[in-house]
Amino acid sequence: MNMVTVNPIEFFKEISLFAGLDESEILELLREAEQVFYPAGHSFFEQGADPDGLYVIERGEVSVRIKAGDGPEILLAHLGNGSVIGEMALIDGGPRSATVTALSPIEGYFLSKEKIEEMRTNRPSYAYKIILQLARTLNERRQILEHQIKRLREEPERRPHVWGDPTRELIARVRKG
Amino acid sequence: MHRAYNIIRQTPPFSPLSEDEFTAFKRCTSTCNLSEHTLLCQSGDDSDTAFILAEGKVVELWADGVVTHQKPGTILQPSALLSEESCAHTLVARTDTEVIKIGRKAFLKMLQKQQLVAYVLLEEIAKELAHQIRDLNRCLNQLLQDNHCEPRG
Repeated sequence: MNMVTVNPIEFFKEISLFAGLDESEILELLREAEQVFYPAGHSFFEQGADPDGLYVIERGEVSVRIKAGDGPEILLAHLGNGSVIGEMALIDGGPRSATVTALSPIEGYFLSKEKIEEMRTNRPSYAYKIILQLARTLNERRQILEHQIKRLREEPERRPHVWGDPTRELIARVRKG
Repeated sequence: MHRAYNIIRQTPPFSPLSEDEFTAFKRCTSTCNLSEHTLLCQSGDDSDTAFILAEGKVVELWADGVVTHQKPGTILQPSALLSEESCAHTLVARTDTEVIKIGRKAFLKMLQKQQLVAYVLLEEIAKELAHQIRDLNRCLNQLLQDNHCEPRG
């Protein structure tokens, strides 16, 4: 079996959330991050749970599902290599807005809420670059959601399953910058 | 110091700033008094200005309802500072209101020269955007469930 080795610095440089960081800053980030390996079926977090940190998917695929009230669970997106998950809860401390589950074996990184808070206190210039990118990412996601809602209102006959592909495509674009 | 600055100086996220940092913030912004019913921005119009609420009440008109802002320090129309896009929602003063205006150009300058002040603003902007995204997610969930959407607030 051929294994492709990913240079972690190059990998992090490609992620929009960390786009403003130079190599030494990415190295620092890697020192703080925990490398994680999960089997298919692993639950990253459940909708409504308290946030504990963010994940960066280096290899593998996850599903993002949401549930409203007593209704069925809806597949919102499939996210793959280079996706960042769980970052929004870190900024406002709110509960997880979706359930994320591994669809394949996952290799990635976990950055805890405490480590992020430490970085913010001890290295403000570094944290500032991340929050600038985060604000831009959130702004883009807000625009996409507004667009999706507008489209759904204009075409109310669209059923949830029709949303799978465009939603995935749009979210993947946002996640990957 | 102008009344609007006095108010937000006592309010997070601005209260932890040093005098020098707050002075730098003031240099990049201006104050504006609005009478009741004054339009701050109209949905769809070009905009390069965000507003920080100092006193009064501002309503934001969404497709399905109205969001009322009255907490001093709230950043209104934050996306104007991040990208060139039109106003997402119409903003109207509901009472006599005082806001602090900050333009995109001044904000970008601040990003380069006053990183701590910029950090404070960016964190507030990110929180407001996260709040909006949660509302929009709820709205999308609801639409997907029954093709109706309830307003927040």
